[in-house]
Amino acid sequence: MRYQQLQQCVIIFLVLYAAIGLGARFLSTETEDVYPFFSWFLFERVPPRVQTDMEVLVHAVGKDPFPSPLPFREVVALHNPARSKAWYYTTIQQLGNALEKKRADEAALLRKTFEETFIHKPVTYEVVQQTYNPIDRFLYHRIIEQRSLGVFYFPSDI
Amino acid sequence: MTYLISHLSFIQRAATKNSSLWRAEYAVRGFYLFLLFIAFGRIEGLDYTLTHLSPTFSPRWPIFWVNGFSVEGALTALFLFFLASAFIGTYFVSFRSARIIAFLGMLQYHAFLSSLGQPYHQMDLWLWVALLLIFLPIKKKATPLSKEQKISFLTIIWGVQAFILLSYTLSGIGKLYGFVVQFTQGQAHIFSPDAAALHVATLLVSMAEHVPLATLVVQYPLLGWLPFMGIVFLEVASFAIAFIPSLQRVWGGALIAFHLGTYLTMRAIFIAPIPLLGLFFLSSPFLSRPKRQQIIPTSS
Repeated sequence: MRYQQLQQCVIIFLVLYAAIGLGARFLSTETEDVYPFFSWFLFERVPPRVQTDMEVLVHAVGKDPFPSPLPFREVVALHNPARSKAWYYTTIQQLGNALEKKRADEAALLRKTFEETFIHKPVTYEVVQQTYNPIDRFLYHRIIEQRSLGVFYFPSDI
Repeated sequence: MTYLISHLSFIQRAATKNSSLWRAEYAVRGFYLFLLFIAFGRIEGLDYTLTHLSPTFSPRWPIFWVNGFSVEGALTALFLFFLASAFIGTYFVSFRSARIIAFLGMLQYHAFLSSLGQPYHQMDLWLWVALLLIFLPIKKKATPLSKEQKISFLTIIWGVQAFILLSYTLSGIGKLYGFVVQFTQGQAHIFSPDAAALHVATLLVSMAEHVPLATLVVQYPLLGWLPFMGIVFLEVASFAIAFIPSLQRVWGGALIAFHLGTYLTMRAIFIAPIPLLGLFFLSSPFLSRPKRQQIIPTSS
C-alpha cells in the first residue's frame, strides 16, 4: 500500500470512529456506546445547583446508638475499603429509588445486596432522600430537605 | 480529504531525519513495554479482582467465551493471555504477527473492564493505539526501510497522535453540546462561573472523597472556572494540533497537566492516557526543533 493510500485509510478511520461514537451517543436509546466505540462525552453537563439523591444514615452499631445519625460512609466501624465507593453509591441510589416508588420486591432484593455487600456488623440504619446544593453540602454539610424512606435493622429477616 | 492530506507534508520531511525515525521507534517500543507493565500489574491483582468481582459482570462480545467456563478459570486465562500477549508484543515488536497478538490480548482485557456493569474508558486509547500499530510497515530482514516505508511508518504514528487528539476534541464537543442544552433550559452550564465548583462538589459529595485542591475550587469558584475554560479550549482545539507539529509537545504537556489537575481538584483518576501523551507527544517525531528537547543532542 502506498503511503498516500495509507494516509487516506487513517483519515477514513478517524472519521468513522467519530461518526460511530457520536452516532451511538445521539441515536442509541439503550446504551451510550457501540462497543468498543465511544463518544468521549465525559462530564459534558454541569451538575444542577439543586440535587436530590439517596443516603444511608446509621442510627446505631450493635446496641450503641449514636447521639445523631451518621452517614454510612463516615462510620469508621463499618468502613470496608475492599468495596468500591462507586458501587456503594449506585446501590444506595437504586435502593432509595425502589423504596421511594414503593416497589417492595425490588427494594427487598436491593436491601439484601446492600447488607450482604457492605454491612458486617449489627446495624440500625435509615434510608433517606436528600435535597441539597452540592457546594453547600461539600463546604458546610448543609442539606435543604431530608425525607425518610424507612428504618431497617441488620441482620434482618428478609 | 485531499485538503487534510495536503497538510501532512511534515510527515515526508520527518521521514528524511534519523532522529525523527528513532523517536517514533522508541514511542512504539515504549508503548508495548508500558502494556507489559500494565498486564503484569493486573496479574498481581488477579486474586483481588476475582474475589471482588462485581455482581453486575456481563461479558461484552470479545469475551463471549467466558460464559462457557467458570468465571474464575476464564478470567485467570484471560489475564494470563493479556500478560503473554504484551510480552510477545514487547519482545517481537518488529513482527506484525506479534503486534496482532498484543492487540488481541489488549482487546480481551479491555472487554473485561467494560463488562463490569458500568462505563469504563480508561484503556480505550490503549486499545485503539494497539490496533493502529498493527499497520506499521512490515520490515524485510536485514534491509533498511525504503523512503516509502519510512513515510508509512510515520503515517501510522501520526494516526496514533490524531486518534488520541480526536478523543479530546470529541470530549470538548460534548461539553459544547451540553452547554447548548443546558443554556436553552436555563440550567447551570460550562460558562457559569460556578461550573467547575459544581462539578467538583457533586463528584466528591457523591463519592465521600476529598483531594488537596477541592476546597479551594469550591470555596472560590472563579479559581476553578478559569482553568475550566482553558480545558474546554484545550479539548476542542486538540485535533487541529495533529496538523501543527510545532505545538505537539506543549499540547501533550498541557493535556498531562489537565489530567493531574482533574485529580487534584475532583479526584477524577484518568491516568491511562498519560504514558501515551508522553510517548507520542512530548518527544513527537514531528517536532520542528527536536534538539531542544533531546537529553543527548544527536545529528539528524
